[in-house]
Amino acid sequence: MGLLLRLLLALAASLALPAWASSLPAPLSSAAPETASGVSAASVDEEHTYFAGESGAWVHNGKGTCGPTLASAGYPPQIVDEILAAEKSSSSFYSEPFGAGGPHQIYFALDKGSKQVKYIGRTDGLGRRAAEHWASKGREIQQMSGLSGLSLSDARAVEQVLIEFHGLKNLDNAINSISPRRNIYPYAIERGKAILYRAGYTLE
Amino acid sequence: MGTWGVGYFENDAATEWLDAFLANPSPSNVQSALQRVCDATEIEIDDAQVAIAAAAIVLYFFTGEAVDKRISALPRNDVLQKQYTLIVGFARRALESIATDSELASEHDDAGNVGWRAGIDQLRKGIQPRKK
Repeated sequence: MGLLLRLLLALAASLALPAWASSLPAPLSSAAPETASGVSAASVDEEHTYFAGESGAWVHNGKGTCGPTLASAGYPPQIVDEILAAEKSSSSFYSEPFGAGGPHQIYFALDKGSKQVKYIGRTDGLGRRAAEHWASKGREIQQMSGLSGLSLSDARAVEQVLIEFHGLKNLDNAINSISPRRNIYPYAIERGKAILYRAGYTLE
Repeated sequence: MGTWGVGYFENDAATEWLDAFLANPSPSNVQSALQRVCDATEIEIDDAQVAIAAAAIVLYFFTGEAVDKRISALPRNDVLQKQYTLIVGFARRALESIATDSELASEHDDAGNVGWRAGIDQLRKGIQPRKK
């Protein structure tokens, strides 16, 4: 998987554990073995939040970064270079500058039984969308910490990285957010990964 | 945009657009959504989903058929029906473009979501010109 799937996220505005975290297994050590579901366990501590999917786990590092402070946040130089390169390359392809900002936020829903991620979405009104999902599907959604205030392009890019990470066939999402057939696809993926890095997430 | 089904409003983009439209139900908002697709050289998923939602609004004002209970709450009258008669051509063109060549169509086709095309065909039939 390497660095491309090691998305270290930027700092969330709030470090509070989401509601679903209380139902998760106890924090795992860095040397933890694979979980019962075959998911490679992620290293977490009290400041981390994570969730395991069928193909891996998200890890939120509980700190993240805001602005050009990647190195000062403790990221290795190689990862900093990768983030900056991704931002530069993807920004040249988009009409919206990287990190332009907007009303969009990323959310997810868990399978009630397995507690694995089953849906990834984006919205500009989480409360309204939560009510709609609940009413139509009985689905509870959660905001992904640190992934709000995004432009539409950025939100779609992050959404697609997460869909790709979990695998469309493993999700209730009916289609991709961005078609892999499009020329823009690799740029969007790099853009999404860079945003996830900055928000403080790791996908392992 | 997350998409959780093949229905006209089973996705984030269409749902958000409908919420905004219900707060300000102006035909010009419908026309803008449709024209954006008609004018596009490459139709993005979000734009296509919004245009389909807009076409569902056109269907309602053109024929009285509501595909969503939120739409059926909108009041209809002769003035609005005339206004939507002027927009219906945009809806036909937009749906034709989306069905023929769009990111949304290819994604649903690739995923084997056959119900999506059936829904589009139903919408297209509903807004065909009326025989006098």
